[in-house]
Amino acid sequence: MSTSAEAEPAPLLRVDNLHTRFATEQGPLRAVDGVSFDLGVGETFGIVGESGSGKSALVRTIMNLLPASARVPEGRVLFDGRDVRALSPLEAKHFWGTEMAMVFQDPSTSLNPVKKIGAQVTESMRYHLGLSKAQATARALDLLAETGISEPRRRLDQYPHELSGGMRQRVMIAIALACEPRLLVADEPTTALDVTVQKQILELLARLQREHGMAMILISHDFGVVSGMADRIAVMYAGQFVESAPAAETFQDIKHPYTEALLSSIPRFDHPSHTRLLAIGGRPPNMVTPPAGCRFAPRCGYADDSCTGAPPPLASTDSDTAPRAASRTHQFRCIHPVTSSPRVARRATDHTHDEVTV
Amino acid sequence: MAGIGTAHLRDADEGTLVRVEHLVVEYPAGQGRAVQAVSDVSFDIRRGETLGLVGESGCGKSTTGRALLQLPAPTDGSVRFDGIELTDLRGEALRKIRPRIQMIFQDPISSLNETRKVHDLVAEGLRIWGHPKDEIDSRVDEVLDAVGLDPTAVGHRRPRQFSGGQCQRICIARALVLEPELVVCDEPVSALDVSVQAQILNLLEDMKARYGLTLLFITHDLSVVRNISDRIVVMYLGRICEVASADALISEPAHPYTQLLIGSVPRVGADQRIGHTASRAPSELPSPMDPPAGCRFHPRCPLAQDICRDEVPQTREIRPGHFVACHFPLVDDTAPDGTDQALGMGVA
Repeated sequence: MSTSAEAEPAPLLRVDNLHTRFATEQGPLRAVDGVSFDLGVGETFGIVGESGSGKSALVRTIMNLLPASARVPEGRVLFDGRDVRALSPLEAKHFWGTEMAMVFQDPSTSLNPVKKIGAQVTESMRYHLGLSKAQATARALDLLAETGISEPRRRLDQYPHELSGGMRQRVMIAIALACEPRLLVADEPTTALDVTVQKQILELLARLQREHGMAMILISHDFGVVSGMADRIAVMYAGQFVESAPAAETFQDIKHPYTEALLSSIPRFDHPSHTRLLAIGGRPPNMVTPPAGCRFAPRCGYADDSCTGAPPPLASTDSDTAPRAASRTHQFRCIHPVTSSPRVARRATDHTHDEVTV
Repeated sequence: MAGIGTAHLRDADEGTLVRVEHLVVEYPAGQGRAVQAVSDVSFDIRRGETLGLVGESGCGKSTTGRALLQLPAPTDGSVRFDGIELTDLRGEALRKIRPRIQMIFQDPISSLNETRKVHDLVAEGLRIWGHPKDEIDSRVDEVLDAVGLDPTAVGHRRPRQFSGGQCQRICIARALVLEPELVVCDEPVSALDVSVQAQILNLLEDMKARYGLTLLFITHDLSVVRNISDRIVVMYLGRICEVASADALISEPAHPYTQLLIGSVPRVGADQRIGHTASRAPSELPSPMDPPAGCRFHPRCPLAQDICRDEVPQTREIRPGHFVACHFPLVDDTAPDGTDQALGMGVA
């Protein structure tokens, strides 16, 4: 990586060479395998990946919310200069909510089904901010109104099952914002919602983020969702960021064959019906025993012998004469980056026959 | 009750495989009440065609697909398959029709009995119909091969040893082994990653060509339905909004709801920032227990007038082959940007 030429302000969040392993019967599974990135105050970092790519494990490591079967053998998470993983359990409890908060995919299972909405929204404010019941309730009403919930006063006395999926996700967002966190982690926040509701929730997140000056990590399997929200996008595959770049560059100057393949497999409105899609053959690698070289090589249309030897180093598009700050660069892990215009010189084939590797 | 019309039905002839008219499906909702999941829906499917049925949760699209198979039989209306009125059939006569109409579901893993071997799962239908063992084995092998699975490698394995995409291939093989004419696909790729989704969509196109299938493809995903369909029906709260060819529907949507749906899909690429502007009060699906009078979309529609609250719109042809059930369809081709703004859509 080129040395930073610009003076960069200290990031709000610095993730440095993070590794997360889960214990499995076959051995340790490398869910996150060497991920680094910086996130500035008020910025949005989008992470795109398919199931099993490690994106949820990554944010759970950042949030210090890992199950007991997980280990973090290497790497650090610095939030405003503090090592998140070194916090005591009591410190961590205060950290969640007041500094970092999270919105999950499924609002119906994330809310407590037997507690009223009002109790769930006020809980963290009473605990963290020491507000009285009346103060917390008044603020809860403001928050519910701010997140676009109709008749907020009536909602306080309702249970989650009385609300629609979109309304429940608004409640989750109100809870996450209750203590004014500086970082919001949204893990597939709209995946369970209808498309018209999804758009409302994304607009809500964008507005709240701007008004509260929050930084955000937005995780999605949907390039479209991340594309409209993020300042910077990382594409995750087999526990690593295979490509990361400022949002516009991600689509205009694709470097990694996996990014190209993923984008080509999405059906598009501007293609006529029955346009054949470019599927990615095969399956992601087993992360207990990942391939020695590039992890995408077994499925990559551009791969040759040089891809299977050693892991490809992290490369950058920056020239030596005009290096950008590390958090502004376009980085990728590929020794044969995509050079021509995307979707033209693609050699990957549409494998109808999967190899059945069990 | 006022219908929403049949203007979009094409003349019935030997090319017509399915003709559904005035379909109504009610479910009991407790306390003697009923909820109408489908309220007077009509459509037809020509042989070899892929008809897409698209809408959000609760619009009645899955109920419509299941009513076509008489699972359960509709409350009212007609379902004609190859000229046979299915709603009149009972018992053995209905059973005899079933191999000709097969179904593929959303969750391929839970659709397969995990204790049984792949070969037996695919062979089940043939065994029920008493085909000889030799024929069963060769048919199963042929269809497994057709869906991209090696019969000798997968036949003796059980579903849990396969990924979601491979399980969906097994489900497709199981549907195809009976040589159906119509396959009803209910959200068949919604549980799959996009790269696997592409494999399955390509496979369905291949199988359609190879076996001469007709497809009813039910989904919430506009991009998917646009890719696979010849013709698309948009549903909202139990009724039809718009019917058109896939290309026309996406490029020139005329119903305000279709426009809202298309405008809500997040697009990939630069300059597509989600609007930071405070959106209007959220508009969500009203309860199907108590659907709005008149046009059911009127409470969410920025163009609604008095007539929309009182009168159920009938489908009518606004361009050749393009039908819409709306009192104020968006047919002014010169001002698509203006209508976008009227609907408060930030995404181009």
